[in-house]
Amino acid sequence: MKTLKDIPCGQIVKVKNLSGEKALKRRIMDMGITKGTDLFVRKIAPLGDPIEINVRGYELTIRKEDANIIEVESAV
Amino acid sequence: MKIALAGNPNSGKTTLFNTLTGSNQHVGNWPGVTVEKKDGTLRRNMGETVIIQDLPGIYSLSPYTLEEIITRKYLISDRPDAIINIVDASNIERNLYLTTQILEVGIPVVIALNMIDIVQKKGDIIDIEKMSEKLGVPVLEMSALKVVGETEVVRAALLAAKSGKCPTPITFSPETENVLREISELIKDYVSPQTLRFCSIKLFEHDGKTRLELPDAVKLQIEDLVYKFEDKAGDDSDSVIINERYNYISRITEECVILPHKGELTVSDKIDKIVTSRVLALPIFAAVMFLVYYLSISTIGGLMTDWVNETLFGEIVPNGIGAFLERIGTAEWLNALILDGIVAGVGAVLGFIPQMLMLFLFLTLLEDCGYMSRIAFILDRIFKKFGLSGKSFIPILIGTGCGVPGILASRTIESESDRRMTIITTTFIPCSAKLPIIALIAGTFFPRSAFVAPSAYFIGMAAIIVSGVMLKKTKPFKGASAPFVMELPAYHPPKPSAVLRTTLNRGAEFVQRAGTIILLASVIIWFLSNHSFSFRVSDVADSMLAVIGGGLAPLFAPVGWGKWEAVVAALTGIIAKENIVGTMGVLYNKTGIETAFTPLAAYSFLLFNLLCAPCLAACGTVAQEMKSRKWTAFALGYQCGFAYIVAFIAYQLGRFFSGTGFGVGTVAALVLVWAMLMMLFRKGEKKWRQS
Amino acid sequence: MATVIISAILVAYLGFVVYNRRNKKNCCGGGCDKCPKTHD
Repeated sequence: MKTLKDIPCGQIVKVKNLSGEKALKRRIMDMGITKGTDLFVRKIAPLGDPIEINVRGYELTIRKEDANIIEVESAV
Repeated sequence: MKIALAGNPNSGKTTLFNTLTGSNQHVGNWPGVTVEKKDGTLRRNMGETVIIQDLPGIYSLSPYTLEEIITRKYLISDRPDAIINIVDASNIERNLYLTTQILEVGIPVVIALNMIDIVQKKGDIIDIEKMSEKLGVPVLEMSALKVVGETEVVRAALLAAKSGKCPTPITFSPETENVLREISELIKDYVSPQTLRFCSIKLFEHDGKTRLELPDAVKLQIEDLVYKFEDKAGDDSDSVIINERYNYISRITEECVILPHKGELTVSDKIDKIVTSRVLALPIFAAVMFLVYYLSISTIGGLMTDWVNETLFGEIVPNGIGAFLERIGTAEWLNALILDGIVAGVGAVLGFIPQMLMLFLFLTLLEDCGYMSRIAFILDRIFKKFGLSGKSFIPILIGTGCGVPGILASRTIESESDRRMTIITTTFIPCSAKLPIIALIAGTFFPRSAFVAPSAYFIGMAAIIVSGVMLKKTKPFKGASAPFVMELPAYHPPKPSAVLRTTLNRGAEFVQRAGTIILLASVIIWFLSNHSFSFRVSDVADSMLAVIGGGLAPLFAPVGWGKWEAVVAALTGIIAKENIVGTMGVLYNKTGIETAFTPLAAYSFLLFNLLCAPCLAACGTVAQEMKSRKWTAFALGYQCGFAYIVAFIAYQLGRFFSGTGFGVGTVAALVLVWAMLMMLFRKGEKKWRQS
Repeated sequence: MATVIISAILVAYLGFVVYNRRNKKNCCGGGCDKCPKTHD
């Protein structure tokens, strides 16, 4: 099961599912990360964490451990 | 007439609010919470009193954060006459997400499409008319920064309010609409027609905060309906709604928004590639901060300050005033009060204006162009290790100006323990009032070193990080790290006029403080240091101040400055940190400050005053935000204790390494260092998550 | 005589400073954008 946390820099993935605690899941969804959305991993911070992704046209910063609840698949 | 302003954080809401209300603002708190409530009256005369209510910046009307709950409650219960929904055109999809929810509240809405200038610069095109048609509400262009379009927006809002026409809420998929329809049927007797749609949707989403008085039978029926739906859909009801909202938005933006440059790297991206790159980010950050301090305090600023201190306030002003006083024939004691008290004290502080201005200028530049949010991003990993998030960096950033708003900025942190920790550590970073102290010590005792001034900033950061690590491992501060989800705004070239204005404002405030608080303090210090307890003129060494200070002085012998002058100076820092410089100026007026300390003791003095409890105003703010005497006492006690220990270690180990002494002190210092390392590196009782 | 005048000016000024501190909301120096207090 691949999550956003495992995706290297520069790849585009599609959101397959969201798990996790209700409040966090809701917040992540409110930011536009929903099933079927494309995410572009723009960069990974110098110390490895957090990750910067591009979703629906804007930049979002998200921690690796929070990214872990976002299950993804390759978007081709 | 009440108009509410709603929109995402950073959408330009506050700028619009300020433009519309000018100084007719009223700031308080929403009842029962620490979230700020701002309202004001419309500046422009539209024929009637129009109240503008600013609402907290939110991303959605979900029931999870305080700001969202407050906004919902306000919109549903207080029923403003119209809502101006501010949409950041450069982030349109996510902003429209909130819009779809605002359209359901049953109040007339007008959309203000802000930052339209940024969109146009990028080359993107938005068809406003089409968007207005599709959403069913007026959409108006606005550029709050360039002050274009506000009047039209307000006019449209007033029109909408008077017409009372409620927008048509968006339509979801047929399956969803079926369930919503059934829920509406069930609750229509219990809610007003305007809020029927909103309540139906919230109940559909299992929203726990609707505060509806529904009979249990109805509640059960609704639950049943929703569970059946979720079964069929294979997903939670609120996920479905969120997805459908975004689908709806995609359909709209596909037709109304044209992005010819999609996927291309913007200039901001290109800059970020370097600035936040794995390898270069931290060195660049260190270099930037070093340069800022080096240029302002040691070089450019330093040169000018030398002239101001030595010539202007050393000769020109005292000679000029002295001559004037002689001519009008004032008494000797008054001359002494003015020259040795006021001029010496205030002059000492004012002497640093060139450096202060330089520093204010640089810091404002950095803030304005957007670099500072990158720093939060870069430092988040380090911060995360002690349960702080990059969000905690904002108060620290503000604290470089003044601790009071910095501490107040901690309100945005949701977790109670994180917030407390931020409040305690925010004032470790040098505020603008501490800058004269840095400049004084660096300039007087280490004139040839470029590192002393920047070291103050870095030690402040280190103190924050070290404290964070140590405290987080203790019981009262343990807890899950807050999720860190933050956006990086685009870089923009700083506006010279705005930067200049801010810098000069800060400079003016600095001068104002010098002319008021410091002046008063200088007079008092002069008096206390030149008169004995019998109120007769005496030598400085026999004065009241010397006796008082002398009583406390031995306490500070271990840190290298056990003399009453230094102790008194540090004490006067309670009122305003600049006083430390002012006091030293008065007390060492005749002998010169260089004679006060050895360089090492001076550095220890600097460290202590940088880290110990802040000025009275900031302490008051700590008390106000902690809302608990116990926590306030802990915060202030921790700061002073930490400051003392750091100064002690620096002094004792400094003496050891320079070969001037090995004794009990050195051993004690080493023990303390070892203890700190232990507290830093011991295993906290963190939950180890599976990687 | 001059002494009295200058002293009086000083006292008045300092009194004004003290009065202001106690009554007016203190500007903390962070710049009005960041200040959550009322704009005076």
